[in-house]
Amino acid sequence: MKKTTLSRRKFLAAAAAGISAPTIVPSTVFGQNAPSNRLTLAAVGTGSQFGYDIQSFAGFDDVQIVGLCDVDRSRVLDGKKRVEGLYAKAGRQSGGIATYGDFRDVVTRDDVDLVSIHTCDHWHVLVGIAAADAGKQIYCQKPLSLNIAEGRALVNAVRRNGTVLQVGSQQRSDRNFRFACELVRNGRIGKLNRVEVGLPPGKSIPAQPTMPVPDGFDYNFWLGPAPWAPYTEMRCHWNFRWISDYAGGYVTDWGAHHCDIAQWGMGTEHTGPVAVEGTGFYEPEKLWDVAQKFRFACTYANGVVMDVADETQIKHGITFKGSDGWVFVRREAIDAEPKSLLSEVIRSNETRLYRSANHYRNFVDCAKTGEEPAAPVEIGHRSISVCHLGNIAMLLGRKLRWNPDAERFVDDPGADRMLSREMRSPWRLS
Amino acid sequence: MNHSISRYSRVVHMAAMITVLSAFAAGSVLAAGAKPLDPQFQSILSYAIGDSTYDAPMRTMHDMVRAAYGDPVRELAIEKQFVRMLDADPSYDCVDFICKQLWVFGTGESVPALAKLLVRDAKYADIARLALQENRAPAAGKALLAAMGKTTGTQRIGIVNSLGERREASAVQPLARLAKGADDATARAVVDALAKIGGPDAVTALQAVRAEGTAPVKDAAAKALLATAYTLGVGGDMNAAAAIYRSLDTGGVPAQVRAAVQKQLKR
Repeated sequence: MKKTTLSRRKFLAAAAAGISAPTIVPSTVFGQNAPSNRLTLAAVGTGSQFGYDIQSFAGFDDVQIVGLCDVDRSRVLDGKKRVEGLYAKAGRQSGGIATYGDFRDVVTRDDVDLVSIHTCDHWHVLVGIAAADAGKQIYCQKPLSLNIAEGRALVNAVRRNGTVLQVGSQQRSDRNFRFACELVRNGRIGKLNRVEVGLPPGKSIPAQPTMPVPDGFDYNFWLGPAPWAPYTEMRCHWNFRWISDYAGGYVTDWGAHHCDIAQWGMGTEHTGPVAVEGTGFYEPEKLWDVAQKFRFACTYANGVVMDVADETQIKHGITFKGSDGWVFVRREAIDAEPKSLLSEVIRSNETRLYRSANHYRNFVDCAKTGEEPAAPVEIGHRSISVCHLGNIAMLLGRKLRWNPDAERFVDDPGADRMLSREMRSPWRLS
Repeated sequence: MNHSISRYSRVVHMAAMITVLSAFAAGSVLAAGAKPLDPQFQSILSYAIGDSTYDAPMRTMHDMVRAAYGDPVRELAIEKQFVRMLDADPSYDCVDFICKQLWVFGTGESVPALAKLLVRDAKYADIARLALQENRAPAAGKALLAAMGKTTGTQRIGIVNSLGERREASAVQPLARLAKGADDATARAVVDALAKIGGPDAVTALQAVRAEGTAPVKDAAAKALLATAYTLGVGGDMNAAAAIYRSLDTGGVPAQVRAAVQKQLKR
């Protein structure tokens, strides 16, 4: 009996508090993944991204999905059916999956261990802070934040509460991306001079008429901290990402992935550029007002320039260019010059980057141990900060100097204003 | 069919006339006390999101604003036109547009016009705060503080939130007084604002709320103190941080706050 006195939940609480957190968890703590010993997970936001992520979580024997939340009733019910279907296919009991419309009701449940966040971007930080303040371990989809001040607030909330947050930058758990970064970090392409990042271009849409809000969709809650605006179908759900009140376009949507890898390869993942400038093409009078075509350059303290543009200007993916060669990487593709680089072996005495073969598994494992995951909150914040800086520089149309330590622009109070934005009441950062 | 088209045309024509007359009337009102609006500003007073007839004038406005970024003289000229627009009671969507621009370059010039919106209703107060929250003119903070005393409910909570985001030190004592008699939702907003403002007076106020508030507000104050201490520690004031952490390492503090405190104390 004494062996079982450290319950799973007590263990997690202790790990969160930094008290006795072993690297390897004895099986006596978690048993044989018995239902009572599984980590319980609640998902907030049950749209398309949830559909991808939840397949992995539902496939883990040591995780039990117990709650789903969405402001769109039809979506949360669809999400529940999806999870029940996944469990049925795996021959598992779904148990009780409660559904919610208000994330605060589920992230504060005492019996929830893990919170996964798949909402629109303008909700990531508010849900994340609420989950961190409730002591939960968090999986948060990218881009981590809507602006830099929000991101820093989430970092602080995670750190002061001693919780784990894995950003959904799953390229960090992909062998090709890691290997490309290790080649760069270990000087295989010589002195790094330049990094090119290609992202998808934005989209345009004509003026959209105001429409009645569909039954079961709590549109006011969906807007949440964003400015009030009339409902139209093309504003919400997947399309939110083209509207600056809720997102930063593909600059942040895909930039969160590829700028993250660029920073990983450069070894600047805990800092950022010192200057940024660029230009974008916008249709600000239309509903989708983020940059459609864009190009911005980030200069780092060591002189390396990261050039980010839509893929009509730069090939989609990340290209590291050095004095002795280059490495190109994107999903399911890696290339290099000289080609011999692709068969290089990174030796044990060289810089070896974080090993994770499955981003979701890595999160669950780190939630148990309290260890740093593959894409922790600070790194996720720094990665998306690069994208926010690019958007700000393009909007203002001037070269900006950036102090990555202070996270403020240098002698540009006007640009500083765009580091944060007011939230509609009663929402606020805490 | 012809009849309906004709009737439709008349309705459209009348609507256009009304728009022109309204614009003229607004200009006339302004003419009594100020220069009339420039035509391109006048043309968007009735702007409605989703109405494609505004695409061209809105594009012109956006282009004009972006071209002015970084040029204080041109920014101020536009800001003055925006103030006149706000005085002409434009559509909400037009106010939304104006406030989003003033968020980037508004000065003390626009504060009086925005202050009126703060006390108009919750919807207008929300969008006015977008323009005021990051405006470094001292008048912006004073306007928010004044509006806090004239509003209630979510409208006031939003104003409290903005005072916190501005780190408005002059708001500490008024916020502390507000916390004593306010409903729980407002008091929780107050403690979050005090945590952001920080400093010894804010910490004293938070400790007082923690001692005297209702149970939910006490919990919120403990959480806010944790945030304050963490900020102090990150800033290098470990002694002040530790003093707050120790004050929270006691019974009656929410379990998660205490667990977090114990971790911080072990560092």
